[in-house]
Amino acid sequence: MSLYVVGKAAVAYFHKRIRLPAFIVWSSFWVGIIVLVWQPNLTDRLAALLQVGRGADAIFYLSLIVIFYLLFRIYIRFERIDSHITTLVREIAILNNRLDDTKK
Amino acid sequence: MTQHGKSIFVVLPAYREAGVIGGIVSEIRKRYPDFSIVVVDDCSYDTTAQEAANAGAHVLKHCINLGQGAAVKTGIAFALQKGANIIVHMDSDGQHVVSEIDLLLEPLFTGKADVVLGSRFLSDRSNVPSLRRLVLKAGILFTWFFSGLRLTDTHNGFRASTREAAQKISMNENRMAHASEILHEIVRHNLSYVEVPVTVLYTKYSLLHGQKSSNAFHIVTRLLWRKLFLE
Repeated sequence: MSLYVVGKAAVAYFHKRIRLPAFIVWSSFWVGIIVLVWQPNLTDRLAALLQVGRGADAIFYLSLIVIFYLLFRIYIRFERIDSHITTLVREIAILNNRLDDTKK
Repeated sequence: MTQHGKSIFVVLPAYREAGVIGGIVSEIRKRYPDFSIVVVDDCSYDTTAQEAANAGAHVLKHCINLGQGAAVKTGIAFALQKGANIIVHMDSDGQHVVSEIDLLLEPLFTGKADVVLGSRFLSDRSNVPSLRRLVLKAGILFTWFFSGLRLTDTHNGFRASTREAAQKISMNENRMAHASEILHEIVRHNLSYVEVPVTVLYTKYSLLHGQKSSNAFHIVTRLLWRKLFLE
């Protein structure tokens, strides 16, 4: 599964659908999953570093933080797109009125 | 287009107001033949736009439904482009009394204020339902707390401003929270303002079409979100 996603990301990068930083972050994430499946003990070291009981818990907490951060970023992006659409719709309304006036 | 040598525009944001909007535009034209009337049709799927145009208004049509705030902003932008000196905002569901535009204009003509806000609580002419009264009073407290403005009414769409004030007031809220945003902008730009008593008529039609009391929660969360993260 992870290899499939990394492969898809590589294809997207070579077809210039995503940029290099996005490819690196996305691939690293999925390669990280492969490493952790291979060496689950690594999560225990992470847990010790974060002073959390179990490795799985450490991954769970970190995932939550990342997901919330991404949600926040998406919301901000969504607000920006919403505001751009608003500007366009308003401009079109005014331009159409001007066009109607010139037709008369 | 002029009164006291000023070009006056009345902006009416409208959404599904067929059957009502034509009468309001005609009434404004009859009483104030020199005024320009701008109806912003917020993507209604009825005959709002045609009725407004037939009655003699400039009609601007949003191709997507954006909300009352966005419609007001479009109307203001249009009025400013056309050289408006004074812009009046008014609801298009018949809740406001056309002849009371005079009350809004008077402080602007005398230079007493940059912005005139209509207040339904400064007189007993409005038949405000109890729940709505409670929500609006809470809104007054909220506005006082967040903007420092001590008003008697906060979400009244009947207001007027000078050209200079309209140019300064920046509105980003597409939906109903724009009414609070205008008040915040008055404070931010240190604009002078005055409240005048106006009538808000609660008819069966306006209660069905107008703002719901439950929108208050949405307005508060939008304003808090904007204050915390977007400004």
